[in-house]
Amino acid sequence: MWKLEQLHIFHKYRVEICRQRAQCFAQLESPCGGGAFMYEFIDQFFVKIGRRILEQTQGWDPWAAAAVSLILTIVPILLVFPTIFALTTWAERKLLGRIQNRMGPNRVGPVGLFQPVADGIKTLTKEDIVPARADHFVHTLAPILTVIAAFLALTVLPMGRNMIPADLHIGVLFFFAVGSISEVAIFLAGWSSRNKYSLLGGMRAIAQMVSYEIPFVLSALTAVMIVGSLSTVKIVEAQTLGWVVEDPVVFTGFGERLWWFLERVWYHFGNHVLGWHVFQPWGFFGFMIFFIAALAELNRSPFDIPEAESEIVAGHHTEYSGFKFALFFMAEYISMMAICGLGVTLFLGGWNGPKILPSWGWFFLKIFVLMFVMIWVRGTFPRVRVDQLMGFAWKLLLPMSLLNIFAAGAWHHIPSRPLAWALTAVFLGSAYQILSVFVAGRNIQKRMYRYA
Amino acid sequence: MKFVFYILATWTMTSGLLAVTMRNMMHCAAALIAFFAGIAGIFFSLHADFLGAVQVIVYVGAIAVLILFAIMLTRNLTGQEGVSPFSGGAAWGWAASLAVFCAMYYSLQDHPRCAVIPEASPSLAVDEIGRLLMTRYAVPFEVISLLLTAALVGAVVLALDEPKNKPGLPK
Repeated sequence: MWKLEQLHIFHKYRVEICRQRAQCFAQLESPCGGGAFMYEFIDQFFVKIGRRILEQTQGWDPWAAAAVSLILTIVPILLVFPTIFALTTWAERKLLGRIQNRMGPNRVGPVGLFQPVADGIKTLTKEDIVPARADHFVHTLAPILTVIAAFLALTVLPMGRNMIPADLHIGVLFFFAVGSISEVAIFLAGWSSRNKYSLLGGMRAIAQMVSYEIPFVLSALTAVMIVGSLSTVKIVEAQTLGWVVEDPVVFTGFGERLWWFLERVWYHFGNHVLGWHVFQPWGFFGFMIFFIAALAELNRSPFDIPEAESEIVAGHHTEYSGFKFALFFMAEYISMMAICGLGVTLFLGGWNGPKILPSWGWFFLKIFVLMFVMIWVRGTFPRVRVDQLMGFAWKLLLPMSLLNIFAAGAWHHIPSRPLAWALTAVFLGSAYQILSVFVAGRNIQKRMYRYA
Repeated sequence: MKFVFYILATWTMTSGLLAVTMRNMMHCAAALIAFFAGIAGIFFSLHADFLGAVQVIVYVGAIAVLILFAIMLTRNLTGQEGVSPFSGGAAWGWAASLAVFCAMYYSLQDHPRCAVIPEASPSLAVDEIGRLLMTRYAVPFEVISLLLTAALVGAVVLALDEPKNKPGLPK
C-alpha cells in the first residue's frame, strides 16, 4: 500500500504532466489534436536520436566529441543519398522505359529493383582504363572533385524541422560556391583525357554552365531578397503564413463544431502550403527560371549537348571507365538531388507541409516530385541546338530573371498583399509575353507533324 | 586556430609557387585554383564566411574558368620541354619581390590589427557589407560596375567584328 504522501506526489506529478500536454497541444496547432504527440515523435525522431548520442559525449575529450558530432552529420548523408541515387537510376530507367513503351530493367530482383546493385558490382570490377597520353593525376582528380562538390552542396539543405547538416548563415551562397567547383572539375576531366570528344564536351559544358549560372543565381536571389537572409533554415521558416484560428469558447451544436473543424483544416493548409514562395508571382517565375536553369546546370536533357551521344560520344567522361565513371554518374545524380533540394528550399516551402507527413517526409517527397519531372522532361523533349541553348539563356532567361528581381522588390515595398500580387503578376506575365515574342520571332506558326 | 592557419598558409604558398613554376599551362591553372581555394580557406578560418564563399564563387567559379578558357584557345598547351620557366631577368624579379615582402613585413609587423584573430563570427557581416556598399561606398561600387559593363560591351564589340556576308547560324 502507498502512503498518502506518496499518492499526493504521484497526483501532483500526473497534474503536471497533463498541464504540459495541454500546453503542447496548444502549441502544435494540429487540426486533429489527438495525433499531435505521435506526430511530434515521428517528426523529431532522428533529431532526438542525434541529441541523445551527443548527450553521451559530454565530458569526453573535445576532439572525440567533435569527431562524434561530425560522424553523426556525415554518415546519414553518405547512407541516405547514395541509396536514393541507386533507386533513382532504377526509377529513371523504368520511367523512361514506360515513356518509350518498353519494359525497362526487369531481370534482377522483383521488377528489376536490384539492378543498381548489379550495376554497382559491375563498375567496381571493371578495369580502370586511363588513356596512355592522358594526364594521370588530373584524370583521377576530376571525378573525386565532382563527387566532393556534389556532397558538399547537400550539407546546407534543411531536410526537416531541426534537421540540417550545417546551418551556415550564408547557406545559399555556399551552395553556389560549391557548385562552381564542379564546373572546374568537369572541365579538368574533359581536358585531362586528351581526347577531342572529351575536350569538346568539357568546353561545351563550361560554356553552358557559365551562361545558365547567371539566371540560376539571379532567380534564387529573389527568395533571398524577400526573406532577407542567406540562411536556408530562415528561408524555409519564412514560408508559412502564420494564420491563427480563434477557437470559440463554447460549442453550440454539431454544425458549429464541423465549421470550426473545417476552418482549422483550411487554416492549417493555408499556413503550411499557401505560404510557399511558388504561390506568389515572383516565386512562380523564379521557380520556373530556376528549374530550367537547373536542367542546364546539371547537363540534363533537353540541355544535354555537353554529353550529346550522337555528336561527341559521351562528352567529358568519354575516356572514363569502371569506378571513375561511376563516380561521375553518382556526382551527377547527387547534384541533381541537391539542386532539386535547393529549389524545394527556396520556392516550394522546404519541409513545410500539412501535418499528414513528417517534415522530412515532405522534403523528400518534394525532391522526388521534382526529380520525376526532370526524368519526364528527359523522356519527352528533344535536345536543343547550341544556338538555341545560348539564345534561350541570354535573351529570355536573363532578362526575365532581372525583371523578376524587380518584381520581388516591388512585392516587398507594396504594402497591400492583393495589390502586390495583382501588379507583379500582370507585370511578369506581360514581360514574359513580350520577351517570348521577341525571342521566338513574330511569325510563329503551329508546327505540323507528319507521321510515317 | 594557429595550427589551421599554418596548414592553410603552407597550402596556399605551395600552390602559388607551383602555379608560377610548373611547365604545363593547365597544371599551372589547376595550381592557381588550389591557391584561390587556400585563400578562401584563410577567409573561412578568420570567420569571414561571406568573403570566403564569394572568393570561391568569383575566383574559382569565374576567373579560373576564364583562365582555363584562355589556355584552351592557346596552341602551346603542354609547355615546351627543356626551357627553364625562369627568364634571363629572373634576378630582378626576385629582388623586386623580396623588396615588396620586406616593405610589407616592416610596415605590418607592429600593426595592432595583425595580431588579432576574431573569436566569434560576426553574424551581421553580410547585411553590413551590403549596407556599406549601398551607402558609403555607393559611388566606387557604381564606378566598378560601369567599368565591368564597359569591358563587357568591349568584348561583345570585339566578338562581333566579322565580315557581314559570312553565313551565320540557322535561325
